[in-house]
Amino acid sequence: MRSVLVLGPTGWRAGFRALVPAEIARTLPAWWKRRGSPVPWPIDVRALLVDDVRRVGHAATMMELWDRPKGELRTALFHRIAREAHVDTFVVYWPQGGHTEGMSWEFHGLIKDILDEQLQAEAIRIFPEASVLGLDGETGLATLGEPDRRTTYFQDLLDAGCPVAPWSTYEELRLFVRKHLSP
Amino acid sequence: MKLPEDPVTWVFQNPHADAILRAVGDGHAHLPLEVRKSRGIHPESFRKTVHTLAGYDLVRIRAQKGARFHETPRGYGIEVVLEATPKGLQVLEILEEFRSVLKRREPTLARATRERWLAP
Repeated sequence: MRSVLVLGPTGWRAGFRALVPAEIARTLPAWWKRRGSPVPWPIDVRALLVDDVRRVGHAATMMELWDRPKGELRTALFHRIAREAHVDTFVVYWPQGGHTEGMSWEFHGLIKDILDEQLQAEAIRIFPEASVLGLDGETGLATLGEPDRRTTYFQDLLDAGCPVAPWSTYEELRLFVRKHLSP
Repeated sequence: MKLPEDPVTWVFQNPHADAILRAVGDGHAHLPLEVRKSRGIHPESFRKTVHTLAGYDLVRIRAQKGARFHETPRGYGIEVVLEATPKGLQVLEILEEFRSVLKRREPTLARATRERWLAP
């Protein structure tokens, strides 16, 4: 059994028109208080992924399910969750148009752990929307990031060898997360 | 089209997936461009198929060791390679077993089956 921390954006960028199917809103877990309306926010999708991962027999959590005592830094919370929940797998949901600032900070910490040989690249599974991972069949070059969003550093994740699984629909996203966590 | 839960079912239904998996199934890293051209797959079909193979965790897309960044219309692109994952190698083994069964029964097969599974 794995212990999974689901990471990703919380909200959509201002003015970004997100396309999340109505089915996602209908299938959100009962224990989750939905944030985005009428269109679910990325944080809602992350709650759904936590629920999906639990249904296939793994432990799963997300930062928003943990209380942060007064005075505890968010970075400290991140490390405390990883320690107390015995997290061995990080699932990163990366839709186009999400706020990437928080993710950027989390990626920085994870990349540092890989460079310090505290974490294996295999432990970080990245699920970018297909438009976020460009694999050019003509040139064989890949780009991971959103143009004009200063996400160039994120390509270090590819360089480090983290598995990436691009998805085109939310049905695919949920399927691929399950497949990456199954034996 | 909705993808099946079972990756073997999907690969069985998708000749491009089968071809790519066989091309990278030798345990080595392969350049996407070489795989695509050697199998004669259209760039867009190739991109989509590789995405799904990576989604099922059958193929890994990773940066080539010491790869350099190149400017592309989408920003800096990095040279990547494709390689089969342990799960991908298991699926490939199933496909090879299936091929060997078909091979034994070749004379009784419909032409379309021979062309799909036994063509070099």
